[in-house]
Amino acid sequence: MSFVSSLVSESQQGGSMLRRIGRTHEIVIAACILVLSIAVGLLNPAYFSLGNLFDLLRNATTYGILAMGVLVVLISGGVDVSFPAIAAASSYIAVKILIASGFQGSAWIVYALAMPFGFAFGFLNATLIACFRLPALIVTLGTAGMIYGFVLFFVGNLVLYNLPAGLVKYGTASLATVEDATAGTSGLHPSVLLLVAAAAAVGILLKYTMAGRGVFALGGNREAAERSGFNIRRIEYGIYCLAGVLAAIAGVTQAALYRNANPAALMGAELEVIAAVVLGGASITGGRGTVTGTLLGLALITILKSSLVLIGIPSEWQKVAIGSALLIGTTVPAIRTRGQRRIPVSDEI
Amino acid sequence: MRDILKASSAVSRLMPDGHIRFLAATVVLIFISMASAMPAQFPTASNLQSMAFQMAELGILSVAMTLALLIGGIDLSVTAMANLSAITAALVMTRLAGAGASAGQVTVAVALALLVSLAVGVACGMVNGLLIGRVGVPAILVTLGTLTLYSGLGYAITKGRAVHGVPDPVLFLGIGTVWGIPVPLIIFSVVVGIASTLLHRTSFGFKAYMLGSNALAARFSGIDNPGITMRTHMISGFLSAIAGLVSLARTNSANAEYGSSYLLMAILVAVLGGVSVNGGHGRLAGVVLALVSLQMLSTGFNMLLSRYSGSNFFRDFAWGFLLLFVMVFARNRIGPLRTGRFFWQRSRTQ
Repeated sequence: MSFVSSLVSESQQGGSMLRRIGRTHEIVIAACILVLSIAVGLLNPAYFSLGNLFDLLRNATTYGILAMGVLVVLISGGVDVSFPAIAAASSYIAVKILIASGFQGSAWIVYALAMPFGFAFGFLNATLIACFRLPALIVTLGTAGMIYGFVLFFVGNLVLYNLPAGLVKYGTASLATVEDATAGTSGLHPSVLLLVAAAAAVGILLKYTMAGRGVFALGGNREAAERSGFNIRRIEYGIYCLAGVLAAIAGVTQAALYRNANPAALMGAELEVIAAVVLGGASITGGRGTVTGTLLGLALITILKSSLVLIGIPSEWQKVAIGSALLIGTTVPAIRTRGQRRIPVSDEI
Repeated sequence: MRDILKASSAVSRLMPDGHIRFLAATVVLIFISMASAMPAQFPTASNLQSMAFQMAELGILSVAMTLALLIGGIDLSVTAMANLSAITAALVMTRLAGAGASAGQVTVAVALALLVSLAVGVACGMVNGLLIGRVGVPAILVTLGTLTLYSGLGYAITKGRAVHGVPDPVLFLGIGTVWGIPVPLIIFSVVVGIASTLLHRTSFGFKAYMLGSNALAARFSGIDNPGITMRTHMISGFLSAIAGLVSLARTNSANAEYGSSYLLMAILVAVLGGVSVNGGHGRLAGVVLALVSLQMLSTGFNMLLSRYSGSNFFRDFAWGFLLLFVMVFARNRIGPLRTGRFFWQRSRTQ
């Protein structure tokens, strides 16, 4: 075990440059958020209201929970594009079962029922990736198509509006509300706590557990991680099952917030969530990434998406802004680290 | 050295590798089973023609994707480039040759529109290539950013609305036939022919394969990696623009969101066709066969399941299943995709 700890500490020393870059990256993103917020706030004071903060949090919740799963997958050197499909499928199946059984109780039961489905889909991904050693991008591309197709064809393709009463109640619940004469009433939805819990759990997992060290080791250098005694296959199963369960939680949250269960919900969200995680400093080739950075990246994208309208930029330019932010956010660190690169340019995808 | 290379490439052209044989068998198998299940509907001239119409756009995008994958990258912005080019072309045509334009005006407008939209595609690809090759940002990140940027630009220019009303001569590119052969299929064949020549008969193609299989070795053998990356992405942008024009001509409309599901399908077609996601391996013959088998599968299932609601969703399921099935069970036939050992095999590190 001392060998493992020395290996980890060595990789930390070796990665100190990367670590410093990561820290600076977080500061830069935070500064961007600050500057953007001040600019928007000066032009439109409504931005700094509590009601707007609640709305931003509400918009960020689903993607935030998804982003936590994606973060772990990216750190391990993998990639997952099937999580929106898993989110939609597990929440839709759970809601459909509960409607069929006439269930009207608590929303937690919906979560409890959806999570095993998320786990099962994640297990399918993990089996194909860990046991058959197939590329993660291709596997999750395949399972995403299969899962969407399976649910839409075999389970149902109608959007369900008659959600269980408990889920409807949960969807309209709020921890705190603010009254605003102009913008109306805004509430802080309790699902924000789920995001906080997911972020805390992933943060603790990555930082303070051996499994988390294993995820970093796997992403940094698979061969070295295997030789130093990490059970690679078990770690990969853990990663993709965790991503599946988090996706299921996000799916039910999405259904509650939108008050319907849509079998094609979140379709196309995969690239946006990955973009948020990458903007937060996670490396697409593995071995680097933090929960703080991810939350900052998510915050930046959420603000860009919802606040440009407040300063008079037409909503149709919003995607241009996000795309530019993403390009700048990935290009600047690349230029900064260019001198220190050992790997030749365009060696990685 | 040259002789050996020439000889080996001649041999490999004559003897298709295992994966291509496997795909050819799949095509035949799917055709026979669909034809025997629906003898009155499936093996008819009109059905074959309609499949050919549907295949072309995805096929051209798949070739663009294949090029990006071959050099060890990926291009997630193909559909965005296609839509942006189609939007530019549509705008130029509708502005310059609106209702009541003379034949001469229409000709000039169409020529200008085609030129401008192809230039937009090449320029978009150049930005990708610049950031990937010269700056050194991973391709998946660059194209993820430009995917958002280009589709955002298309959205901003059109304010999210579709642009309609292209002149009739252009529609011929999308819905016309020559001796019963759909024009989009002819365009696709030309694209495949040119791309294949480029990859297998020119030094550019050889260098692209080298770059994809080992970028470090390629650099030390004097290959201009950034230049090859740049050119590959410019070609990918050019092909995407052609795909965009074909879809514009076929549907008589262009918008920023059109065919976004084609992106993942193009990756799927390329990978199923035996193109390695790690770069350096793959042939266009495989890509074409994969495209044909997927098209027959989806058309066939659509016919078979037409009385059930949501039959088109079964296609997604079948495609995903086929991709995973091929990867897992025909894996020993897919040399380039071999990334490791099966879990019951002994690990080399033990």
